[in-house]
Amino acid sequence: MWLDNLPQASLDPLGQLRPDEILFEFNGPKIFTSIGGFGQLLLCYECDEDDEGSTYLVAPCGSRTVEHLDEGSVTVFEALNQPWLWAVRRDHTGLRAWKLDSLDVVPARNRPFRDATLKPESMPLLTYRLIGEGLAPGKVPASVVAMAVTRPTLAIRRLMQILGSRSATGGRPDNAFRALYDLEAQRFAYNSFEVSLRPPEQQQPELGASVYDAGAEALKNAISWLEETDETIEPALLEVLDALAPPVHGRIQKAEIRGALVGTRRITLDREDTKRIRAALKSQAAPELIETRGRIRELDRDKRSFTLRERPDSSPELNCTYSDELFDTVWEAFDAEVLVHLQGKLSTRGILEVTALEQVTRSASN
Amino acid sequence: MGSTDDPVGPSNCKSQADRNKALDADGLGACTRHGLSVYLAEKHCQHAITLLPRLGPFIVAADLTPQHGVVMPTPSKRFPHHHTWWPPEGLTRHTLFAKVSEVQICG
Repeated sequence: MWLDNLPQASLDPLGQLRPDEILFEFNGPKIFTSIGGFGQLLLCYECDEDDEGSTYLVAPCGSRTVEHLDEGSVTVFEALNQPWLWAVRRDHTGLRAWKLDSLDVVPARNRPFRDATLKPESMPLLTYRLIGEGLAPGKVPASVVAMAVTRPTLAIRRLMQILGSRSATGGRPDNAFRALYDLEAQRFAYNSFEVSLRPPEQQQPELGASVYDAGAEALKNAISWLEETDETIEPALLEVLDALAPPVHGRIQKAEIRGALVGTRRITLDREDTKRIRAALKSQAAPELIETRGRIRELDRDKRSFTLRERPDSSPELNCTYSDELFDTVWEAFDAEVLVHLQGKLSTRGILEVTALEQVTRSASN
Repeated sequence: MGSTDDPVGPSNCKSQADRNKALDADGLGACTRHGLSVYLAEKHCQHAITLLPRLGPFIVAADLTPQHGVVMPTPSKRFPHHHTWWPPEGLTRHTLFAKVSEVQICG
């Protein structure tokens, strides 16, 4: 038993470990607060159980700790991982206690996951861990911190954009959809260095649940491609994987993904995965670059898309998308009903992503 | 629910009363400790295993019908999804369950 070689401790500060407030129940109280021997509040976690009795991890906690656990801003692991930490065994002989240096001495199956929040709805959508030598508290370069935030954020944005574009004719997803990938950083941890992201509280729960489920399915397909060489992959999903994979050079050697988006799994990407993803990206056919003219009709300002008509030589109308930077230019050309000359990349779906656009002057049009 | 074994063993289907731990319970607890905690959704069971990895790593499910006893919602303020299953005396419980997925236990 993992407790056998640890020093026993006094029971005086611990009281009787009777539940004061039950925080989590599963076949009896598993996580609860109790009142210690000095009247102080304690957090108790049942880390083992058999027919003879139960063993608890016990740490001091403040009244704010319970609020933080309820909000999901503190994980159960963090709440327990205090300088004062005991293991307490209760069986038919009574109580015995051991002093623990940290939760690291407790086997993984007897302590909560590092990112497990008390309530399921607070669990991170994605936890992204960068693994490299020498990453420890006080020794994490700011560039690594930035990478830990920007790469998973970019991956989720790309993932949500793929799902958004699947259900639309093109252009920018609408505001409700964009809110789904404007994530909040839920917590940071030195493990080597990781960040957990969750959806903003204001998002629409029903839309969010269905889209994140679809996102999880799409990401599952992308990961299957990495693990099974004979799988095919949607080109846009390669860009999602590219955002999550570790850089080929530098301190970071691996990236680990956990959270609701990957379900019960823990996915590790290494530099070989990065090389394979980038080789696949290079092998994708480059989009066709075209120039054309026409008049902007049926402008959708929210989705940043329009239909181009009156093209030269009776060419068919063309669905186009544009970026925020071109918003004013497109709007003025639409409002003035003038001919425009534009350049862009034609996707395999026949939608032109406009990269440059200018009004055609009367003399030029003649 | 969670299971340490696949296939599920009898020890994974013991209530608190089976472990003689229901004697000091009062109120609703005096009733629920004679039943087994179950979830209707896999994701809630998955969350329970991330909190208490020793319940897993296997997520197991059963199609419970009235002949298998009573299942009732036993929600709390924090856990509105919690259900309790009271199997009839003499029912072999563990053979009803089969694995649906596995949680990777990580520190």
